[in-house]
Amino acid sequence: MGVDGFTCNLKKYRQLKDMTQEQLANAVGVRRETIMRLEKAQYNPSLKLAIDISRVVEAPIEEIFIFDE
Amino acid sequence: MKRDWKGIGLIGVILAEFLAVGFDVIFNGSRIVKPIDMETYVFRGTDLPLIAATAGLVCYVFYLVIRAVVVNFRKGETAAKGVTRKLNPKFGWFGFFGFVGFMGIPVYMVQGQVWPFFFFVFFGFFGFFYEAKMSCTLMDERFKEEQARAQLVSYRTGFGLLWVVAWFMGITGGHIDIRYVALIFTVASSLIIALVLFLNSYLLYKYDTEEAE
Repeated sequence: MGVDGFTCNLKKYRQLKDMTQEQLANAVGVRRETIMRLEKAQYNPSLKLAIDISRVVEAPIEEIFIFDE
Repeated sequence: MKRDWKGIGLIGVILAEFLAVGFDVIFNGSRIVKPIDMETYVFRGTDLPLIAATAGLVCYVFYLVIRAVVVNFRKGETAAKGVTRKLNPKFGWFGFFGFVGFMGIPVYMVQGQVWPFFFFVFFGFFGFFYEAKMSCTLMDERFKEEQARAQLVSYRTGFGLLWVVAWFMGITGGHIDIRYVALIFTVASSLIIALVLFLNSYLLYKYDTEEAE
């Protein structure tokens, strides 16, 4: 079950960059399991992690992580 | 073939202990095997084998435990910064020392002492089985959140139970012997500490694995 009102498009942007979960995890300094949970919208990342991911996959942060209003 | 000197040494001291017990029972009238009244006790040369064997066994087991702990934590220091310590799951077996706490029942009935119940704390060491599964795990922000959550739940459970015991004693404490109050608090506090220690490790492992599917 995901975090309420949270949608994560990370998988799409990661695949566009042709990266594995492991590679992305190493690039932003977290575990692969954390990336996996992010992609399933089961984890609400910190602002720093969200920014780091946004930089690595080169996509706007608000398009990767979407919170329902 | 490499010989396991630690195992051989342990078997040797255990065997010596059995032989010394046999000697004491057969040739020494069970003077040391039976409970000793220290006020009237007078040393005899025939007491020496069992005293020496027991001292040797205790010292050797103590040495093995200290050595295992030191080796383990030395490895933990060498682990890269930012990862959990490396822990051997064998440390979880120390949890069985918790059953020594049940020795408190006969000791309390015979001597009126409650201190053996403190061994119940060792039940908490069963948590090492779960901590070992998380050895050398990168402590990223999610791990730290789950660690804080596990600690919060375990401490809240422990304090809740402690409050229940204190509340119960507050109601009944005035009507029962002070020795029973000490007994109940010793048993309850030991079991609560064990529970908190165990839950800390178990819940962290549970949170880290259960929601991954």
